[in-house]
Amino acid sequence: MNDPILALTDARLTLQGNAGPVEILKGITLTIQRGESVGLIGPSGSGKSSLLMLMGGLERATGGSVLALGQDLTTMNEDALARFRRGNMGVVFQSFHLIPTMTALENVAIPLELAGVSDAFARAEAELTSIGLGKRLEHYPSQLSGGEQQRVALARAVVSRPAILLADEPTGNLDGANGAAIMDLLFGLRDRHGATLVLVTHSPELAARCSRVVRLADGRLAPEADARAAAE
Amino acid sequence: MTLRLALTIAQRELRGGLGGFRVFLACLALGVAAIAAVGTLRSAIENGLKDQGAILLGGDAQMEFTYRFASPEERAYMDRIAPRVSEIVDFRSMAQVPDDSALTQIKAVDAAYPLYGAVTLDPAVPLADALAEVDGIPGAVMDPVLVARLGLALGDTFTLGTQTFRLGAALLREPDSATGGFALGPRTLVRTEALAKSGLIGPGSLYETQYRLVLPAGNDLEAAKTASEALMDGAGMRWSDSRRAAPGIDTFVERIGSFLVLVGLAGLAVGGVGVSAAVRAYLDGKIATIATLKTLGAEGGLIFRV
Repeated sequence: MNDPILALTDARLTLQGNAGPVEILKGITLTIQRGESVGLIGPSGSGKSSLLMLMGGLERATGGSVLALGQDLTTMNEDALARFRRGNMGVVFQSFHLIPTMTALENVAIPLELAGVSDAFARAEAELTSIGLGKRLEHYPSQLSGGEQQRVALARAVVSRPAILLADEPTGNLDGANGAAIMDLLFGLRDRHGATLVLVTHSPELAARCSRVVRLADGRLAPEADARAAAE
Repeated sequence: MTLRLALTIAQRELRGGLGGFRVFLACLALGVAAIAAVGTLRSAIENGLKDQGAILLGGDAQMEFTYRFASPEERAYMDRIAPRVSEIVDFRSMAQVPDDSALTQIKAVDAAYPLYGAVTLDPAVPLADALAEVDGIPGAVMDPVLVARLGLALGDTFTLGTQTFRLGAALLREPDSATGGFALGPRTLVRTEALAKSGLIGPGSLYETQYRLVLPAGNDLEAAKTASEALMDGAGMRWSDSRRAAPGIDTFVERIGSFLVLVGLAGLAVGGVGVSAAVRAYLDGKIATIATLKTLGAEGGLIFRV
């Protein structure tokens, strides 16, 4: 199998802090094949979320290249990146990031509306119903539990059938039972839609459910053998 | 499509209420309303002064002299250009009662006064009756403040200089009081001829005379002014007319208007800080939503429209 969907070459990220520049990612070279599920693990501050942001074009690499579906995200402007994400990526965050003034249905429909899909609401309703939230369509985020909010966020991430699914510690704000249910749902949706999954997690158990585990330490990749050992 | 979607998203956003945006709207509305109110008030006063110019001045035009009356030639000229003329003498003196006295601003008028408007007296008797001579004592009307100050009652007498006057009524309102200028004391109004034996008007006295003119309808005030000033060049005549009847009030309104506009602008500037803070607070509250929309694929133009 050699069908790279994400390819980072010597990707670097340096941010300007009050005390001067801070080197977050120090030359990441990583290729992810289509259909893979990759668990990104590592201690806090190792650069996992930043790496995910580079892959999603939510942060711009200060060095190297980030290719997604063959397109270099480092050369795109903000609008081009937004259009690219709209058509190819779904993102799930730890804090859900649902829009508080929109109902569950509207939150799930918004990526489709942005893409100009005519039956956005019908598809959003079907997606929510498929994950057991058919009776919560008109509820606002504040009227949903944490687990339900994250399920809505998952539905929103996959409703436009993206090729790449990026998840940043999606169970971080949930208790054990809800977290497990969300992970089952995440992997179920990923399997159902055949998306490539990149999952940032602190949990070696969750990372072990992925087909590959990548370990970061101090902004650098650890050897894959070490990563697999850490996950096991 | 983009605009319709922007409106749809904006409509959803408004479900969260205007929140901090109310401060922004309030600041803007208050600042603009303050400036507009000042402008409206100023305009209303100026229009009022313009419309009521003749009444405020007491005539269509006025010629004023200091320390002298108009000469027979000057008076003849006035009678020639104006169908009706009223002569007024204005000066300060002491009104005296047996055991008290008080400063008063005296206005001595002729029978033609007032050319426009009406004097309001208490009791409501005609001015001519109040100023009429009774038992050889001429009448006078006096500001109620001065009446109370001197402890006078209707019919009581007091003196101005060496002339005794009888209080004929209290003077509640003069139609031309707005153009009277600076007064050091409350007003007393008498007939000019009654002052003949008072010893108050003569060489060395500090008084001013004003000749109010009612000009023929349609008279060109500017032409009348030019002709009068040319005729009395160097005679110390000061012309004023109903176009700017109360220059003192005009100037005052202009200055107070400018001041209030300045206050309004300062308020708006201070409010601008509030506006800035309100907009910043509003946008701060929307940063998460904007970031989420961008993550989901919203372009900058769409977010700006929202």
